Amino acid sequence: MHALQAITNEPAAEVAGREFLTFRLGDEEYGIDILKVNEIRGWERPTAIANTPAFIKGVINLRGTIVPIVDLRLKFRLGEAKYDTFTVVIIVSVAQRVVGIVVDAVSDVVVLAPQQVRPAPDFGGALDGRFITGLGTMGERMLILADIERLLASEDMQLVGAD
Amino acid sequence: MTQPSANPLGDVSSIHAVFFEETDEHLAAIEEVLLRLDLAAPAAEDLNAIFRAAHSIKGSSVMLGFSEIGALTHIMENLLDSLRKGERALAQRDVDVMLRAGDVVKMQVAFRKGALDEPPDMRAVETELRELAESGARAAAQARRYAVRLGPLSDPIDESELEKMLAGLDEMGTVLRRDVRNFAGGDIRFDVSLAGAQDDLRSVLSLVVAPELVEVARVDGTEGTRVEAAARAAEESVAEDAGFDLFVDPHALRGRRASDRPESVPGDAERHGRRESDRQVHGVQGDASWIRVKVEKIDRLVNLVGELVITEAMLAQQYGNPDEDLRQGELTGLRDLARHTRNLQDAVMSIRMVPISAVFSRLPRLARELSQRLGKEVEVRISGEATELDRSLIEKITDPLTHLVRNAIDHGLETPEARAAAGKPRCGVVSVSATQRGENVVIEVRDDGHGLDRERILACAAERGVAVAHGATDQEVWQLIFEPGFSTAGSITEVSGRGVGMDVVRRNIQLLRGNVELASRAGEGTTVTVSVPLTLAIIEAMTVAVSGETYALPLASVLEVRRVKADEIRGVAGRGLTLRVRDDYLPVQTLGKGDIAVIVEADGARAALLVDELVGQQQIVVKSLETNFRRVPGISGATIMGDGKVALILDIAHTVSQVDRGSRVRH
Repeated sequence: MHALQAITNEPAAEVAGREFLTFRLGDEEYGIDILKVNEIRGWERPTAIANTPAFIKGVINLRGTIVPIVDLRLKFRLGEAKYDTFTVVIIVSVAQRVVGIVVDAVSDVVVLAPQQVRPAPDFGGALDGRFITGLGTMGERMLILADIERLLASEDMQLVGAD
Repeated sequence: MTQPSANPLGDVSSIHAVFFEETDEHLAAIEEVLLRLDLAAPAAEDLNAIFRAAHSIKGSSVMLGFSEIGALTHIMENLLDSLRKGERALAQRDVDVMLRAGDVVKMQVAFRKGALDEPPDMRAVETELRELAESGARAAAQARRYAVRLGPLSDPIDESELEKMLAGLDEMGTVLRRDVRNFAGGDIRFDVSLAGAQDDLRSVLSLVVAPELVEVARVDGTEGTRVEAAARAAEESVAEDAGFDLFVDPHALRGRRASDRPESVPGDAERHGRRESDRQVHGVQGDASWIRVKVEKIDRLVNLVGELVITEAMLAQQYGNPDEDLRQGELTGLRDLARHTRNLQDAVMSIRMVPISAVFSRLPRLARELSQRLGKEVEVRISGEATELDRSLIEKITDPLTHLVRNAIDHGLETPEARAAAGKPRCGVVSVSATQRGENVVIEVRDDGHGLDRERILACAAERGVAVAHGATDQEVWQLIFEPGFSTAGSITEVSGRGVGMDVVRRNIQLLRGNVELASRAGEGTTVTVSVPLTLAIIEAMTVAVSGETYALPLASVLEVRRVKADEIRGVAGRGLTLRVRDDYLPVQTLGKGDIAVIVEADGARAALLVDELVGQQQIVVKSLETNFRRVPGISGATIMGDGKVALILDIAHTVSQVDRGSRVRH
């Protein structure tokens, strides 16, 4: 319902020929707007913060700024939260904040033409329908296009303070 | 089609921003001077300062098309002009009306900025100002007597010129009591009575001798020659400034002029010193996104960066050099590098430092309005206003400080009658001072009122069900007024006594990692001492390790560190653990599994934090967690350690209040 609204409010033309960074979370493949992505980094152990949920791994020093790291795998209970040399952190800029997200694996960058994007059905994926802007098809692959900004700014991520 | 950028002034919005900021500064300057004006004998320099500020606002506002501001400041200028010419004496009403005019201009600026929905009504003030200005001009129309002195002359004046001049003066008025000593080193003195403007007199005299040799004084005037000379200097400088403050820093100009003037009398220097400090003050007010920095501070930065570059080049050259002797230089280079970075850090920090007068300058007006409303007589004495404080602190300290002064006047000071009855002068004194002590700035607000009423505080506490030990010391009783909602004000006045009081002050100060202390003596007054760190950006910290993470504790709140034996820590039923430190039992917060106890203090309460290991002590740069994340209870910020890892800074006040909850030992 929400997703449909989001789609109708946002004409498909806006999604036209947009580039998405794709990554895996468990068995699902997601795509986020490449313009929101600052960089991709290898895993480094963050400084843990007490009194925060487990999926907030802590904070790292990103060239002098303190950046929180969120493990989306833990948040959505997908895949195994392993941390090794292959673990990557996607640094994104959303809602005037810089946040690092941990995912299973970063795949590639794809360009989706408007006709490749379909409205998302109100389905029971790991992600709440509110944060899905559509589904992208590329041959056999299906990408869940996520609105990373709304996702990270949402209340249950506990990234943004109430005050 | 004309492009918006075709405006000859370029980007107008940025010019507007500069104008708004400057106008705020000028208005603040006007207000400050108005409030310290001595009604009986206004200092010429003060009147000129107001005139200059009003003139600058007028010039810029007219240029930018803010004609209503221009019109009002123009009338204000007229009024000031007649005041400084001594055409009429300064009255309380002049000050009042000018203060109101300042307020109206402030509102108009706010409206232009878009911060206010409707423009203020300027007519009433305008009419009053005009009335005052014109009454001065009318008075000027009456004949007055001036004492004129021309000299000292370097050469005698041509006799015929002199005759012509005196004849000219005779046409304007009557020349009396001549004393002509027309030779090198001599002077010519005479009195002249005339109805015309003083400027006319001056211009006639200037035909004969150089203008700087002309001295004119009202014989019945108050300030005499000094007023005139200073007024003249101001006029000259105003003429030069010509309202183009927007592009040339008028203060810089003024500063230069002051030093160019070799004949500056000692008193002058002092006055310029004050101006200098005033100048920085005003950089603070207005938008938080602007800061004015002295050129010297920037020059210092540039020099330091230069040094840094040289050191870097030197190190690069020496690095890996096979020659042993040359490699000895690496150590020197590194030492230089350390020194330069430290200096650079200090210099950068100093940019953020602004004098506390930014806050203090608002107090006289507050006191004035408050005392009028409360029917009290108050004199505000301010000292140490040049003390510098980090800009962000200045903003945050304004409210608490204002509150303290308000309290002092409302609760502290008695009515004039009560004071007289108690054998005190009718006029109460509230003194506000600031001094730097080490890494802290100590601000004191002292009144000479009746002091805190012990009995009433105790009664209030009893009413609110706050337990107080029998025979509590005064100091302990005073602490009660920091309790939330505590108010002893006999009546709830419009000004204070609503119970949002000292607890808010204390909390705000604590957020700045400062503290508040109180001292009071019955009949003699109350002193509130606020101490805040110079800056929030860099603090001295103790670093500790807790379960593999490093934490920083502000050193200011660390009392001592000791190793504890297991049997020193005892459980208290339902109240967690306590540690005996000398005669006290402190609540214990177990952070790690180690046996190191860090005794910390905040809000007058102490606690022992158990940590795994002591890492060290160092200066840390405080970074906000909230920039990209949010506030986390118990954590006041983060910092980056030498190895690039993030260390969290513990919020000691929060930690202590958590452990301490319910376990405060009652006597």
